[in-house]
Amino acid sequence: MEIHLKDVTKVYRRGAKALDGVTLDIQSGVFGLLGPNGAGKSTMMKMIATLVVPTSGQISVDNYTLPAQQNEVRRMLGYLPQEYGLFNNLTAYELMDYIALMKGIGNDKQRRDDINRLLDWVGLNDVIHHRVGSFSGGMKQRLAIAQALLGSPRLLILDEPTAGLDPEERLRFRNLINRISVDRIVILSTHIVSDVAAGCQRLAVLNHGRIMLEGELDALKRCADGITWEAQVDPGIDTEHLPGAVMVSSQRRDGSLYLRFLAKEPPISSAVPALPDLEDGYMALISGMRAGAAS
Amino acid sequence: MIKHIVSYQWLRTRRWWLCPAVIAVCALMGIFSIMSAQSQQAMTGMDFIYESSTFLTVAMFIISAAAALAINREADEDSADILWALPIDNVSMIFGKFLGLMPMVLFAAAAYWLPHAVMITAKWAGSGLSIWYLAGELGFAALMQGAGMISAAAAGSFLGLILRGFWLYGAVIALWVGTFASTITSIWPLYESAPEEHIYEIMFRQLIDWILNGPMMMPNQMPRDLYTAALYPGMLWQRVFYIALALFIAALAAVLIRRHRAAGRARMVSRTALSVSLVLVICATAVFFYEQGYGYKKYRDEMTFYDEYYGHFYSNKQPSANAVELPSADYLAEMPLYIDSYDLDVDVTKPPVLSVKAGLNLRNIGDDTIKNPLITLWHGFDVTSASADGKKLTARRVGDGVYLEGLSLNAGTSAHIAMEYTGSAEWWGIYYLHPRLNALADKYGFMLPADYGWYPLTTPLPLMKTTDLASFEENGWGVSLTGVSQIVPSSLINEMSEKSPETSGNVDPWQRQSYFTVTVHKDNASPVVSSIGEAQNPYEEDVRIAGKGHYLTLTCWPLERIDVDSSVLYRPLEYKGDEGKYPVTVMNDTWKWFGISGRKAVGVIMPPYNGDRSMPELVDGAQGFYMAAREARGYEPDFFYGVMTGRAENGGAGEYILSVIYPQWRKWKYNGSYDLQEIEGYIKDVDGFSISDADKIMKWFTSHDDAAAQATLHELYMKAQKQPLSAEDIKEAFGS
Repeated sequence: MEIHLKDVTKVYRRGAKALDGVTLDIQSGVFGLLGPNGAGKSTMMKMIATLVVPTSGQISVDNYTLPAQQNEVRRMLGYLPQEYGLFNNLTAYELMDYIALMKGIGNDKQRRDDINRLLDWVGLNDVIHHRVGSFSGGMKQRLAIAQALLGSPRLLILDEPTAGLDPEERLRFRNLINRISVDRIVILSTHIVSDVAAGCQRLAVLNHGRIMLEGELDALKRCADGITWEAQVDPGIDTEHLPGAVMVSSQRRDGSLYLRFLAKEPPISSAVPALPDLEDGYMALISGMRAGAAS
Repeated sequence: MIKHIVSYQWLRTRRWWLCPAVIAVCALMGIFSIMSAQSQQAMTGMDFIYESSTFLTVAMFIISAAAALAINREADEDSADILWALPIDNVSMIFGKFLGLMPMVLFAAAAYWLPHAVMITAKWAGSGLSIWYLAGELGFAALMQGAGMISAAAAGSFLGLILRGFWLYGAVIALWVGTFASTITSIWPLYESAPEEHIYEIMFRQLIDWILNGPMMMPNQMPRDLYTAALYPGMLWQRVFYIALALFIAALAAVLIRRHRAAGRARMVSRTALSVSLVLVICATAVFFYEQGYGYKKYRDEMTFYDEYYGHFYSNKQPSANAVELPSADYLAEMPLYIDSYDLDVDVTKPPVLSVKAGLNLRNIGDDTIKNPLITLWHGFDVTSASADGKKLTARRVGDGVYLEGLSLNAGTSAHIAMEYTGSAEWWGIYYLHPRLNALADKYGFMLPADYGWYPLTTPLPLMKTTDLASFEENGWGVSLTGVSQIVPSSLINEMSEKSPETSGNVDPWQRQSYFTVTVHKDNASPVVSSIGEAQNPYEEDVRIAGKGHYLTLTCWPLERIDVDSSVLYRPLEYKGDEGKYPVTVMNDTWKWFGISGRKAVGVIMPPYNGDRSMPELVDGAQGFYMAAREARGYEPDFFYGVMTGRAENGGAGEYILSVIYPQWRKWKYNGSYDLQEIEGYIKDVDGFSISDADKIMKWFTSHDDAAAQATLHELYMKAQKQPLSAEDIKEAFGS
């Protein structure tokens, strides 16, 4: 299964360009979509989820062209929007049942089994007959994930799926995604790099509607090769205004401040080179400090 | 797929607090509606249906607002993306949502309908009407109210799919205000000139009424009774229009809201639904135009016919140069022909066709031989044969007249004329472009009044004066029954008024009376009531009636007969107690006070055709005049002219003054007070009579006993038999 985006552009009514000539190929497996807020991630997800029609360009999903063959695409789709509400006056089971029916799961037993299994997976089996309106934010998020998984969709689009989940739930979610990602495409949009690191085979970084990078995870790490530094400094130092540096993290420990930053040349004499990780690569890419790029 | 959407839409809707609230409010509106109808003395089930239109507007507003909010709750709770990403085409989704709201709409409609159903059933109980009649009224109420609610919900749903927040509320309110405003019919002017000059405006007005008022208001021509089957197709199609419109709105939404373009079967379904609903909407509208056009054609034919002969009757045109003009009213009034007696054999077994075999003894009361005499018979009848004493005659039709060619009547001789003729009882009027007039014959019964001209006369035929719009408006149903004078062409009336019996030297045509023998063949067991006497058994299938009178009125309807003192009242079976008796009582009472003996009224509560069943028609059996008398209008001058002279024609100023004074005296007598101001309002323009004169007369009444009052009124009655009363006569009688 493959998804192809070719020169896809989306311009909204008031002229805001959400996507600008995006070309992207997505294969089976978990695909991470990283980018800051407003980068165009959700627009791209909605396009693949058939909810938004591109202004120009072509999108095909498993040889089905959008928007012409959107019904075919929707049949293989599980979708979790970034911002959503749920049908508050239905119970968890009724909501799942409704969605399952809409997805064409007509067999009563199969539908019942699927619903129970998924609600069990997301830890909601003890509130199965409670109204959704009474759920906490985290419970609603888990229910939303469960509804997306109904019908074993071959294309799963999850927009910020871990938002609102506690660490345990997030871990369980990652395991779940890894388990089901065989022979299907899971597109995971997030701004939490660790979510991508946990399970994505490939990723793309979007910024200002353009693809900044597309490839395997190591490709992102390599963006920070040679420009990643660590330093232990006095806590009184002004870390916000280190010349030529982009701060990745700063931690106070044992009376000192441990800094991790990106810079062509370290502004602090005590800085030592460090091995870049995904977060360093992402920051290097977004900040324009990508290794090898012209300064 | 769609059934699941319907099911869950309804599940979600019924769990919403607004759903039971909407149903409860609609039930409340229904209760208000029947209370309102009760306060207006609703007599029939149809009266409740008619009145229900007012509160239905409110119920429709509520249901449209609720539907607007309910159909797209996903927009409010931000769950639309999840829903629309599912593999459902928009046709299934939108139709499913529309249908999923329908239980709420139908429950609300049922809640509104139920109080009406209870009252309709209560009115029906014990009426003797068939269960099918009840089913018809209940069904029509449900159809009318249900179609209105469904179309309002569809309109509201459509708005709810495309708008939210302030814009939605604004649009729903605008929708309601717009349609409600359209029900205020006073915004339409009453045309003061000939209706045909406004035919397109009239048709446009009818169309707007039909479209906008339809779901809420009963059509203007809506009868007060379900018996008038002639209007059913139009009414049913109007309801089809609204249900089809609802479907059209849903299909249009499915096509226009292209969030998910329909494909394959869904596309076919949406296009089919759109096409079918559009065809139904067009068909229903076409039926409207057909009805209007057919009615207009019928009217136009009538108009053209009368213009041919009278020229000025319907319009200001001159008569056609080729027209064979009828002899003048002078000729007719002075023609010394007299019909001694009639034998009418009337067959109404194939309504609306009327077939008559008439035998009339025609007598020449003049001094000269009359050749080829002219008699009048409404032009809607084809004379199929005519003979005189067995000798065949040629009946030459000229307008509303028939020349009996081949007949020569010497002075003082008689001939027995045998005629056969047939034609439809329908007569068409302009205003509502429907069969109008008080004549009718359908499977339930018939109403054959004198002014229909359904049997030969030697005097001018009374005609409906459709340009008398003031009369239209006053009576609300197209023809005045308050006096023959108003339904005779004004030109003829004027000419005849100038030719009083004294000056013409001939018998006043209005005074000519004939002996009637009428045999009526009919299909049902309803009684036949006549202006000339009662049948031996009015309920028999073939009824024979005999008596004497000027003009012959026949009524056949499901009625019951009750005695009111010496008079008889035929009233609808569902009337109870004293319902409908009052005008007869007033008439009996009035005869008593005026010392008039030998009169016997036959009151008939009008057949439920184009009118109100509570409007009784009183027939003075002794004198043969007839008049309509609502309770509140029982003291009209015409009533007094009838009482005083035995016929409904213009009386003098004295009769008019008495018609104003007498009710106030009755009021004082039975209620202990009278209203001088009311008298003043009526008599201010009467020459030779002032309010002080009226005051003196009222004081006279209050200071004299009943015997004195009765003697004085009787004296006036006797005087009126000789000549119309003047103001001086009244003042003199009461010593003022």
